Amino acid sequence: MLARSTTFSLDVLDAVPVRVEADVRPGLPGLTVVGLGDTAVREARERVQSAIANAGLKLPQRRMVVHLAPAWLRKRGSSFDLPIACALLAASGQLEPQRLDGVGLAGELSLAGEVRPVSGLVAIAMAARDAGLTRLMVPVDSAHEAVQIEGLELLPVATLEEAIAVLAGRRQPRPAPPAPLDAGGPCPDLADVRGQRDAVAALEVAAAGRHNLLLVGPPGTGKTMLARRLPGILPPLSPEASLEVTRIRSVTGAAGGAAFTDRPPFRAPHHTISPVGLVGGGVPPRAGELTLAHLGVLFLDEFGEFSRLTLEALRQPLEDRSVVLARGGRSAQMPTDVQLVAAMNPCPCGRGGLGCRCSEADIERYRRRISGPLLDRIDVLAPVLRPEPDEVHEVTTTTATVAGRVREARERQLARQGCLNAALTDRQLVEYGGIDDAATKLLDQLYARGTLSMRGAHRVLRVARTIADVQRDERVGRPTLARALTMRQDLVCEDVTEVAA
Amino acid sequence: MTISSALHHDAHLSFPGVDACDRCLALSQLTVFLWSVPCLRGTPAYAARQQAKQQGELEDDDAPAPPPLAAPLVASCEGLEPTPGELIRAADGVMPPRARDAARVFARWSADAVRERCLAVGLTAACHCSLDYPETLRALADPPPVLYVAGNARVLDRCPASAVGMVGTRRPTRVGREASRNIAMGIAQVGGVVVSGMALGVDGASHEGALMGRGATIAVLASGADRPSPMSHRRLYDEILQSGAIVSELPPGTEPSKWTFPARNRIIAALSSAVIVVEAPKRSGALITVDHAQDLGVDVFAVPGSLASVTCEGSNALLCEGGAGVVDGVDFMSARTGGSSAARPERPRPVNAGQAAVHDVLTSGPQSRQELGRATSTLAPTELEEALTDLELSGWVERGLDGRYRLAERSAR
Repeated sequence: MLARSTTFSLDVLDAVPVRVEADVRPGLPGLTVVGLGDTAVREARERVQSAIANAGLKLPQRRMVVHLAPAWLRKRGSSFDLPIACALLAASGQLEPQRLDGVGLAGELSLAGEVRPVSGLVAIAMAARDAGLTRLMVPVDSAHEAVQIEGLELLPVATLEEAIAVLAGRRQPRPAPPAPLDAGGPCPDLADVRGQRDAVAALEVAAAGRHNLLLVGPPGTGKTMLARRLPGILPPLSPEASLEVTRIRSVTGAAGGAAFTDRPPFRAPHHTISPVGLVGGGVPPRAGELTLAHLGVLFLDEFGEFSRLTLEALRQPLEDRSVVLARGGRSAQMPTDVQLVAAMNPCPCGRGGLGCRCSEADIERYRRRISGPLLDRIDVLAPVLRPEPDEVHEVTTTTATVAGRVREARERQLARQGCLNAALTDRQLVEYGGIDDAATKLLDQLYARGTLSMRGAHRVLRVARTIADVQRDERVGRPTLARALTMRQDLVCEDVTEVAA
Repeated sequence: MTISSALHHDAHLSFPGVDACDRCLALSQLTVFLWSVPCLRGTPAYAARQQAKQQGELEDDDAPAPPPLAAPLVASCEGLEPTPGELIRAADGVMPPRARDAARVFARWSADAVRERCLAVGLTAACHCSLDYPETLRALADPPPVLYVAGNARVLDRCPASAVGMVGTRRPTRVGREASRNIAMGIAQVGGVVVSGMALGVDGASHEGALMGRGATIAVLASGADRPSPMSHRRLYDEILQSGAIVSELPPGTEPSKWTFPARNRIIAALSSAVIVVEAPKRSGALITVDHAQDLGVDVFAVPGSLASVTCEGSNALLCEGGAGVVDGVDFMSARTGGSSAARPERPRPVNAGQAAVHDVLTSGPQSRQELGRATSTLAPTELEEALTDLELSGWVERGLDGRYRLAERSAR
């Protein structure tokens, strides 16, 4: 007799529907699983047989074949245990086969028959909804991940026995667990930062316009501390963005690990990371740190110490906000919409200024580790200096104050132009910039002197627009532009003049 | 008159500008060969150097003077036929172990081929026997057999009277680089010729300064004069050629090697009437130039450097030991001759109180906007930002790579 159940296989960042077919027919007793599964799927055979026996159910002494369709799709993970077991029980007459219609199943089985959590449940629930299913049976311990997906009845189960009882209608399904909003602990507060008035101001501007930021300063002055406080002043994610972030965390993370969060992700990979670790790769393609930081912040400390290849690999994903990885005969698109925060020392010895023993050439070489095209993507440069003795007790501001201004500034930008200032094209900048004549004249003079390059001028303008938005100004005047100039990132421009000199 | 100088007269008739006899051309080729490192193995000078290295007195980068090979060679070749065989026999007396290798080098060598090559790459040449040979080089213990020149050879006529050599480390501090540039510019603006080695660091900055002062400058290369070395200075090479000269004692196409760098220092010293050391660490190649200058009776000057910087230890030591005069301003030439300083374009003064306040604070060193804000507490933040912008616009202040502001030192703007 033949029975079918429906489940899902994780594929890159999505879940793909998989039909589990179980057939029981006369022959030598035994269970065969076919359909291009990985080791975890092949081992399901042993888990399923033990779990069924220990749940007080039994398998017929006949030949049993389980097929996972489509046959060409490579399947991985342990979430096939529950659907295989249910399909087998239906095929052997212990459950009416039509009870499996319209319900998706996912779950790992223990030998004792308990249903254990699986990873990627957010993606699975989204795929189930998209496939037109109305009910989804999930492990009770990871059910909270799927709660946010609407239009789907969740059937959380703790054991195989319970699963069969619920499917057969002998037992009422448990209520879906509440959807916990994971705040991830309190975000560190800006009130912890002492002094650093300018750096905090630059952080606020970077947050308000979603500008990429470069923090430059000697070791131990608080570059990392500042960067870690950026997510706290960013506005919470929208429900859709939150779902997207949770889906990525759920697919890539450990089983049952991802709770819903509206806080932008913050990723800080060590500088020894490989290009693949950062951008993604492998067969099948896996997400890198860039994708894990999607819609949030990617913090690269010791920017100059990253390998050249790794940094160059950043360029295109930063520009296009997504990356296409072709691996093993297939390609996958990964979202990489991140705000980059980089931190580096002013020179190889790290001291900068007084006490620095680096030569001009050393410093120049250190700068050149960051290529021009990459620097072009960074709008704001903030010096982070050692606070003066009387500043070490000075509390500049708090996260709550800054977060309020940032949220307002962002609302203003979105209402005006539909995107944040960092994403403005040069043409949009002219249209929405609101730059007055005095500011335009100043910019032209600086360009004529060679102080600014063309791209440098546009970067300054974008930042000036954001400063005006934070200050609730409609127009960008000369004072606003002068402030933007003190925050400008012009390493690229200097580089050019250095060569020309 | 020796045989060779008699031979000299008909040697170059069909090669205009290449005024060099067979014997001198052969000697210059032989110099290249003998200065290549493998040839030096087995010589007493090489052994002494290796011993010094083992005892930790020398580091790899240190460049001691090579053995003065050219002098004994020239002496031993005096009066001989300019054939390779004769020369090699003469070289055999100076450098016994490598004479057979020398024979191999000269098997396919011909003086006319070198002359043709000079013409092809646009070099002129003057040999020791020529009337065009710079007289000042004859004072050297081992004068170069041939001086190859690219660019304007007439600049050499102004040596040594109005020529100043400038030497220093390849890795100067920012202050040292600016000082080189400004001193060289001062020299060029009053008609002086800056002589240096076109190396990275002080050398390059000195040539740049001379060009910014619209003066002529001479670069003495450690490679053939047709070949910019280092390659990263090829633009500088082209610019020097516009008005000045690139000279070398090595035949066209020669690659630089370990010994050619210290060797060219004696030419810099001999072409100059004064040598300025801008920044030199201990045991710097620049100090070899100083040794040569002192031997030749050329005045030596040094720019006082920071006590904190290792790159100034050698030049400061020169000043302490009394071996050098102090360069106390960018108007080196007028200070030396006691004349009036050249008219230099004045930049507009800071125009308002805010700008003046910011400018005064910056005289103590680079400052971030935040530090400036503390120091100029009378100014509102917007006033400070406006003042900084205006100062940048008028060229008084520049923003460093670490986001800090400092006084601009390039007075050219």
